[in-house]
Amino acid sequence: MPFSKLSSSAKWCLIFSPTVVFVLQNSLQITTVTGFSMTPTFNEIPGSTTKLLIERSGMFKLDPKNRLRVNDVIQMRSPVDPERLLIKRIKGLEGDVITPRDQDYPAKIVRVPVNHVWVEGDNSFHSIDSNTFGPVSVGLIEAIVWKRVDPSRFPYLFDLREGGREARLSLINRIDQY
Amino acid sequence: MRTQSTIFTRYFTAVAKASPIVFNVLLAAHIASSYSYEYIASYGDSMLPTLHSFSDYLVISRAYRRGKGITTGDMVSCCKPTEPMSRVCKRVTGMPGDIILVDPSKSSIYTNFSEYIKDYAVSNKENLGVKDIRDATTDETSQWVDELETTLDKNKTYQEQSSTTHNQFIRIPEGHCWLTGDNLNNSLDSRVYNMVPLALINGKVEYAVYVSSPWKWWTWDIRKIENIYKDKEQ
Repeated sequence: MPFSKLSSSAKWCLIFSPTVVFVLQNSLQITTVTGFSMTPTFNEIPGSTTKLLIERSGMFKLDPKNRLRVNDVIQMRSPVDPERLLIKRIKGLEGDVITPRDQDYPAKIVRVPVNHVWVEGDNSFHSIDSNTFGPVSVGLIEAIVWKRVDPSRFPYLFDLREGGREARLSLINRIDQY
Repeated sequence: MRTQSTIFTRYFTAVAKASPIVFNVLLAAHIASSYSYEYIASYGDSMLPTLHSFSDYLVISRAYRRGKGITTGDMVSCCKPTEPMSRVCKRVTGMPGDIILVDPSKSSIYTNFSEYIKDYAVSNKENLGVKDIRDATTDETSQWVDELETTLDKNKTYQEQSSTTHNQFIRIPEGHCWLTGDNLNNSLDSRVYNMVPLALINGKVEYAVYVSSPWKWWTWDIRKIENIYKDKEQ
């Protein structure tokens, strides 16, 4: 069927289809989380799933220092398996001094390199995170998690509460002083 | 009421009608280039024997993004780990499981002699009685070289005894690769920022076009980028 024979609305739908695709790919999306690496925050019951509203624009890569904060939950590609997506929490930005949780980690103190982040899961016992593969590049981050979606409860969108431990060495020392 | 149609109003309505179409055609081109093939300019000295320093254009296949089907010897376009918004073009010289010697030229006493002497002088500052190495005369440095040679073990090579991180063997873990430029003397690559996750790879470079002048298309030099490792085996 030639393009000129189509109705006016069908023409406009065809013309604006790239915009629709672009907006769907680079704006808010809903993803489902499985697994128990973030257990106190998501998936309290073993085997349950959680829905998250994520922001998929890559603009934070332009200025990671201003956009990414400590205790932000992010979606990133696994450095071990490129096809796998992980949900983790940022525990240190570039320049922060980190004490790794595991004793097996080769260094006792880690300084996070430029444009890298230290990520950890909230569940300290069952989480494959920066304690095994080290600080990760900002380029691996796919999206920032904005809200948690729970259709069964009003007001359906919930802020993410803080979780996990404090990994930055300077703040641990400050807590010890008081 | 009937408005008089001037050149300005006619031009304005034409632009207003065409602009969403133009915008969407450009967006469609952007989406197509991020999933099929990409045509992009490259510059820099790091791939010099294979690619020119400037006015070289690359055809990148995005089907290989995230390292799908990449083997040793492929030329890839990759997101730089220390600068996530900039892209680099390098050659894959190591895949998961390979053992890599980082850069022997940076730590050998023959090739990087001045650094070697500086390290020695700094570590033995008190024994040598040096205040500032920059003030040292040539006689003093030659004296240090003699002392350095007495401390070296004759049974081992210089490279085995040097302590710098450039002179060590690394096993590449799963999901990572080792990238180096073809021009090793002038390249910022895995020797500096360590191994790169395969997830950062954008695509594989398949063709390079040297555009000496944009309108004289018959002078363009189109060449296929070969996998250098595969050809040697055959």
